[in-house]
Amino acid sequence: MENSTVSLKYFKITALAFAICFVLAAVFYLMPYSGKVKFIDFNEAKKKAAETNKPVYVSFYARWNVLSKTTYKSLYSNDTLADFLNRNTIPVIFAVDDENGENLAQETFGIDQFTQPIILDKYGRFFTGLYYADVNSFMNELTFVLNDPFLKMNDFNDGIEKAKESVKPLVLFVAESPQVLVDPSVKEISNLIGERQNVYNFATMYLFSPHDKSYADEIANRFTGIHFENGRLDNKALRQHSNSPLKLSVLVFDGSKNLMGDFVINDFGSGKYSLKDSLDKYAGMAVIDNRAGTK
Amino acid sequence: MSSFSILLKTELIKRWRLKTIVILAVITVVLIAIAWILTRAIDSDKLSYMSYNSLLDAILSLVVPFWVLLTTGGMIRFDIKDHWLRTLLSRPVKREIYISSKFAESLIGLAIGIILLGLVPTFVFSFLGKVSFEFEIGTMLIVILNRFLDGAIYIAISLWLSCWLPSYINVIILAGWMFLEKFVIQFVLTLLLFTNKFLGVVADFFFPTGFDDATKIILSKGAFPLEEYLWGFATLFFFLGLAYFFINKIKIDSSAD
Repeated sequence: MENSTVSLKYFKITALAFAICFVLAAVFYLMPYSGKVKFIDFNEAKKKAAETNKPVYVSFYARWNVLSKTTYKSLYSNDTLADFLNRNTIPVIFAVDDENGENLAQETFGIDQFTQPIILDKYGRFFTGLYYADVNSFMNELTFVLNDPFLKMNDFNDGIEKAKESVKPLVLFVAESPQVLVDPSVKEISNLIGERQNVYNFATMYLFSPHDKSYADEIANRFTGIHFENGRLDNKALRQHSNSPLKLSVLVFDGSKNLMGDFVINDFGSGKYSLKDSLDKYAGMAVIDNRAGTK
Repeated sequence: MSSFSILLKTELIKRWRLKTIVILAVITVVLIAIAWILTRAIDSDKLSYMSYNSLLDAILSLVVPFWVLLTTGGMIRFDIKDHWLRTLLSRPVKREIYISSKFAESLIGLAIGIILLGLVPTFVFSFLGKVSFEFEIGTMLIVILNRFLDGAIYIAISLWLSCWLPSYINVIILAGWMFLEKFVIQFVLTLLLFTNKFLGVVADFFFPTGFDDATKIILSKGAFPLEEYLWGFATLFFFLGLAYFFINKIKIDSSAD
């Protein structure tokens, strides 16, 4: 009785169907995925960013990264997001599948976590990482970051050039990393930058960035009393604020690289300092100085 | 009438007794009541907009596994134990037809479960509440289909395990497997060991999530998730194939559990 009921027909059909699906799926599994975003090579992107002043969007790609697999797929195949990235950024895909890729990324961007996309400014300086939850929240976050005035700022060299050309003082924000600047509590500074855009030039310097290292050394060597250590500006202002954690230093230069003043910003939003007053005081001096020089 | 149809009808009659129908009706009414209470409790000023498909997917991702765990315990083993399988196979019926009818009966049950415990309460919640919902019929049907296919995988696994494991052990193992995937593997990898390449691959293949991943991509308006569907169908055919293979190995005269 038992033998007449035994049959492997359905087993063979399902085994064949499994084999076909498995092989096809495995092929897709091993293929890199970029969706509708037009990713280009990092070196090409750097050139393009310098020409167009657009920020660079870097997406790390590792087939083995469990966090990036489906989330990346849903991100980069979304029409709205892909179009937004293509129009407003220069998208780069950076392979970190093996150790070489990881080392190169670490060297290039100065970071050691490659689980999230990052934004670089037009100089290729790391600006911030982006956290993915869903397409809508990602779009909001991306829009917020791309509208950040700090992202669009020049580096020290270009800032000084602009200051020379425009006869407007340069306000240089010095931070260990730009993470300080994307803090929403820095809104007061962002608003002030907006208000004073026509009066001053603004630039940023990130001490951890390989791009800015030489400027930091130059500034430290040129001006007695200024010393950068771990992203902190060590001068008399620092001593005045020694009880507070120092987050951001501000230096004001005239167009001839003369340091007009410096101050520190700490405890964002606590009301212990007035950025506006300090900025206007030192930059105002630079304006007077510049006018005197031009006369 | 083919032997498959006769067996399917028999399985449906065995499953859908008055007691089962009454219990399911009561659970549905309770869920509708909960949905109605929630519509009153939610402050529409704080939550003014929701995607119906996301809500439906969240509900079905709970309903489907629970339904399978509650309805497929010992599904083959108990037929051996009470000699039903021996009676059946004394007639000219292939074992593959028998297990196909079990599978089909479970799928019909799952469809009923999805409608009564997933669709009806979420419809009540979305139509009676003050929160405005975005409806997309096409995506909704895909979400339902994907969750149904997800359930089909669970049923195939349960069916295969029940071919060689005693009593309710099949659903206990399935539940443990699901628990490890949702709360241990993903948690450990996401928070602690996400850079480990080997574990990354293990996590990808630890538990079949092809249709689940496909749903996530579709809900985020991504591209057509062909790879995920292929993984889903590969898994479904794999476990179904195992069930078809193992049913031929069962000693139907054994009733030792």
